[in-house]
Amino acid sequence: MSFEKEKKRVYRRLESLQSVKNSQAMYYLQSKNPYLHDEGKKIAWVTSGAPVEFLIAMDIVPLYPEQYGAIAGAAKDSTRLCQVAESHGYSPDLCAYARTSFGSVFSPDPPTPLSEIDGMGGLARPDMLIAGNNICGTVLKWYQDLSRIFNIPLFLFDTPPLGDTIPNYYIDYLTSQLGDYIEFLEEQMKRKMDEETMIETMHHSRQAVELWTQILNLCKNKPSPLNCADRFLLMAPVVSQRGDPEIVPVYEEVLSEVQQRVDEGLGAITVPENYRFLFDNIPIWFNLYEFFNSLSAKGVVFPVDTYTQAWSHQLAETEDLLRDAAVTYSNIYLNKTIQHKIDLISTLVNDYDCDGVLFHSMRSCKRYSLGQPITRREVTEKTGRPGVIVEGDMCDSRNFSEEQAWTRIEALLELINDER
Amino acid sequence: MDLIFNYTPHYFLEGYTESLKVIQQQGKPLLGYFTNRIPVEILHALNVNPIRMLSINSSVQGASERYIQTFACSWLRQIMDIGLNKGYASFDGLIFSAGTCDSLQNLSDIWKKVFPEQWTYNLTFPVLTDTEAAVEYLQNEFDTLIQNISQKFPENPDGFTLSNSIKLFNIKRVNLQKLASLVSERKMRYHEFFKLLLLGDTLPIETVNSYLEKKISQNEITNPPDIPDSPRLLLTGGMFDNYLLFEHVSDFDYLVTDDLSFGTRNFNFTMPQSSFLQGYAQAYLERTPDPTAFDMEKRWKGLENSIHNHQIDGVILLGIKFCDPDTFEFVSIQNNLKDLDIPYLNLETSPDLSNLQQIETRLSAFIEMIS
Repeated sequence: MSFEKEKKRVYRRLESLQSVKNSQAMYYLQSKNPYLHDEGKKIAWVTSGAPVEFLIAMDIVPLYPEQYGAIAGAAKDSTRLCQVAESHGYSPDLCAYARTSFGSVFSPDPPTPLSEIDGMGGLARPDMLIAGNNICGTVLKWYQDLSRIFNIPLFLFDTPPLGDTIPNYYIDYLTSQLGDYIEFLEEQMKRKMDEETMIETMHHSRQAVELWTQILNLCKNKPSPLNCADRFLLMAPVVSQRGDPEIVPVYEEVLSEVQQRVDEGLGAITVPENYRFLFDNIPIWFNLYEFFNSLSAKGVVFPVDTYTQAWSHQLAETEDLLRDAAVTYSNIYLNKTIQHKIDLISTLVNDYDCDGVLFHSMRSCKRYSLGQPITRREVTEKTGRPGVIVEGDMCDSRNFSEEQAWTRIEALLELINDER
Repeated sequence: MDLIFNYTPHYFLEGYTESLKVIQQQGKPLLGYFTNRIPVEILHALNVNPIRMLSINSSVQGASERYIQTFACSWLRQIMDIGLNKGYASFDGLIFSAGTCDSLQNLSDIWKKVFPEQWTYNLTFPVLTDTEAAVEYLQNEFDTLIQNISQKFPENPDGFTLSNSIKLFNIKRVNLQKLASLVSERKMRYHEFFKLLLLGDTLPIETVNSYLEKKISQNEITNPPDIPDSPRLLLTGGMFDNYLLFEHVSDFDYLVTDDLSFGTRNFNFTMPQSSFLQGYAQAYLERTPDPTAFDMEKRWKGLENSIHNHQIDGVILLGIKFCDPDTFEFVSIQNNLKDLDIPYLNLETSPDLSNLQQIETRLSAFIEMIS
């Protein structure tokens, strides 16, 4: 067996993806509204693990440099932006999302191709910064530098890494910070947070997460109605607009189409599904469709991944909103032990009946990647399914060798074939 | 424990892992730790010997690749290599600092998998340092640490007397401050001082205090060595511990002070002598922050004061390959140094000093430029 780059499209088009794209386009368009501040709104740049509902409840538009990195990556502009950041002193060994973000700040109106492709030309300038270190320690340094560059305030939500249990004093520490967070936002907006609006926003957040979880669960079916690339694109609103009621009907539409695929026995790919894999880590954004399409042509589908699962944790619904949020925002994949990752991946491999695991290892994201050699071995021991580690990057194409990746994946497929 | 009095610091450090076996024979449990945030006084009061992990002396290179990727912090990979070579087998347990950097965070999980027989503990630090909630959190973390160590190593004939332990470690810090003054006054070479710093973290505290006092009195009676007057350099960076760099590259004699995790940040304070954990936790958080803490303004102020107090002509930024916090922080430090019009040199290396020659050449050129 040998891999050749597959030009022929074997993806089944998901019509509702257009609604997601429209929703995102509107979201970015609104963030660039020149009258936004006159309307009593402000802009915050936030990390993907930050408690976004609080911002939405306060009429603050959250924008995600990580998501911008993904967009710039998909538009194949991120490597250039990384190089801009490097020319300002940032090491090429640092997170490529961070470097892409710095590149866009130092080069705010990238001429081509990004502005032509998506019309963004960089994120709208922030009024404040919100960072949560529940996804990694890098965000702390990244946002400190953004704060220095823009000379705007930064709020850090500190969620120390979790062990096997969550002590009460841990939740006390986080709950206290969420109180400070509200005070910080009130100070920035010069008005009090409305409790009813906050409760409503939390409700909309739960609705979106519930729909998203249902969509992910439908991929347990054979053939899987969605592939990795579908989910990586579909997840944008549940990451960035969680709590905004406008995304609820968008996900209802997606769920309906995915359910229809399941009912009709239609898979994400138009060729027979030969191999089902789990994908671990952030995708290779600059090679997203080429990578998954070439694999799809061989009948490889990814019904599950660890990245999009991260947004399937619902906020609990009790009377203590802040403690609930403290538990939810600390109890996430990247803030937990490698043993938890091994257990979760093993469960997902079994639940989604995967034949193997593809671990994407990248120097850009040490929190996500370090420990994958052990995870791979232990997942195989627990599930009997093999895994392979492929080196790449989410945004910096200089760190990805396609040939090397194909060779390793090819070896995995041969191993599976031999065992069949 | 007269071992150190019979040998030179160089000899002791060169045989670091062998020396650990001798220390272990004293009878107290040996607990290894990674960062300068670990509450050594608490460990000492619990009748264990806190010994800092050093990355010196790895004879097995690359064995760690089976468990941890090559882009992990090179200092931690070297530690893993030594561990795989049984270099830390003398330790009865290890205390990891969680909530610091991603590489160390993941290493603690990996270590548990690779060395399941060795007792390990994760002490988690808040990144915030200036809130009551952070103090309370750290106090609780310390309290939980005490309970866990008391269970694991219950033998403590003198009982838990924190204030006595604080007193002992404060003596060490004051002694190191005196020795640091000798370096600044050009009466002691930096590499000699740096070895004493490492010894200060790797020998039982009682031995360290006697030894440092002896060194201070020796230096007071001997003539100052022939050390160049200028330029006066400051070294900043993080987890660098290979003293051989400073021994081999003679231009490091221009160093008059540092801002390293193994260096000044480890002794430029004293702890309040009290048995109350709350005050202890608060004092810990009030120390000069590491690059992994939130309060960068305080961190920069500390560095700026050091530049001013030591009349610094140039700054060396010494990064460890694949250390994210250092690498990130160097960008803002460089910007601040430009504002102060202080020349700087950015160097990067790994614990095995694979680019020693390049460092020597660049440092020499830098000194020539600013002289």
